[in-house]
Amino acid sequence: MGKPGRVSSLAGDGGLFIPGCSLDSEACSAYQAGVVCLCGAGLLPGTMSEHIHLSLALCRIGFYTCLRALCCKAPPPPRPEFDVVCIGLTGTGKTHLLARLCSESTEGIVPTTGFNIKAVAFPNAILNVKELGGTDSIKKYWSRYYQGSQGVVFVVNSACSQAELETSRAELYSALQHPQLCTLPFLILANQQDRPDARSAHQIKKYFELETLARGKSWILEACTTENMETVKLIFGQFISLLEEKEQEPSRI
Amino acid sequence: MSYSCRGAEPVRESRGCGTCSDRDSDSDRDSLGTDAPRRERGAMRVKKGCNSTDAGEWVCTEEELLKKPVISPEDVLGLQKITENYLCGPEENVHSIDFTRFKIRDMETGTVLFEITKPPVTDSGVEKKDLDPNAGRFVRYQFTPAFLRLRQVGATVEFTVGEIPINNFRMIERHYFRGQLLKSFDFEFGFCIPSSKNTCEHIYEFPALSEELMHEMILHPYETQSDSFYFVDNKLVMHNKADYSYSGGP
Repeated sequence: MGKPGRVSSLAGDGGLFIPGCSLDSEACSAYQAGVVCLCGAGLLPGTMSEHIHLSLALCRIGFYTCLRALCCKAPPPPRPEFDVVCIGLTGTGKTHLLARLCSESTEGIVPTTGFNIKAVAFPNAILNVKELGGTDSIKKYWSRYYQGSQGVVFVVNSACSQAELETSRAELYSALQHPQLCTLPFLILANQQDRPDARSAHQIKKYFELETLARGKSWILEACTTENMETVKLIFGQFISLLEEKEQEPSRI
Repeated sequence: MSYSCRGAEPVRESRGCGTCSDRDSDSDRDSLGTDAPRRERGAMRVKKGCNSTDAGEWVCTEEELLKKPVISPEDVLGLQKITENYLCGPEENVHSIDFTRFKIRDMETGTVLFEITKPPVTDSGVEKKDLDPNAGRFVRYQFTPAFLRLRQVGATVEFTVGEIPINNFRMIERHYFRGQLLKSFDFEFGFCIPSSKNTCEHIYEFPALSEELMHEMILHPYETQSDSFYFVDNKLVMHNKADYSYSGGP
């Protein structure tokens, strides 16, 4: 059944599909022919089980995919996708956060004057994020993008002025009550924690009065900074769990 | 007007790099889209790519479409090969949609494979009517064979919109090799804010290409071609074209 450490599975028709092959079973012609797929994995006929038919159709695969086969990297099963809208005042760091989540350069980021659509991959889900600019001229159009969302990411600059925090709160309340968002999970990020004057997550949570005003809704509020992306990813992982739970709820017509 | 262009090779291939050359001096972007399946809900969705083996798909010709006063998304979905002509003139872009940047990155490694940006328009005093009307509608891409081995790329397009808000902006892009449809993408942006600059990254899953087909595509540069159609409120307003070489050379 192949070399030790290598996972292999017998197909019903006698073909042996080695998951290390970079092709999935449907694309691998050897598998389809019901024969052993070596895929350059270096398996020798002598190690094959005598039950396995030994006509070999070698898949012609380049060096890179041989490397993948040797590393036992199977094609991953497709991840669930969720459509999410990302809002917050200008300067709160939305574009920056998303760029960092996608391992992209943050060089040359300027205030967003429209939308940025991005697919952000996490280990167990893909978030299709619609990030919207937060300047006064753009935020009046936010609601045009709410339809079809399954979750909301609301970003706050933890070190902003009191006036700005008040405006943030008003916008958050507006979103929490909007008919197209009011039943959705919310992730509220107290961002820019690296700033010396950053308020704590606790302070912001208290100021936003979420315990009372968002009661009965599904939400998380966490502190974060792009200086610590591991924490950001963990927080998004929690948010994805909320999205999955929501998805599993029976839908009401 | 010239572009700044930066290419990088996929991490696992040591030969060459993705470069581009503009046939015209003032090229617009052309994008690869995604057929990642999404739920049918709301605006800004990707419709699944179709291929010519789908049962019941209707077909039409370029000649038939050119006779129509208005070309709709459904119309171009019937095209089975690259068009000879542009199906609309540049003057039909009444919403002043302008593509300003295009980038491709390998989703598995994050490497930026290709990036092209359009410098901001300066008032050069040149009358628009003096420029070639089809300038900027065609881009020629040059990739190495390794490009065809990629499984997933992220293609980012950046575009600006004029002062008129757009209710529904949609892109359909069809890729062909010789007479064969390789992939069709359909992406609805939905509403576009007036005077906005927007970006969109699609995850493009490479269609399963047989070794023979890939071999042919590498051997015959620029016979892989694409038409990109753009619709505002279901009316064709822009049509761009591109062709592709995978042989690694000019």
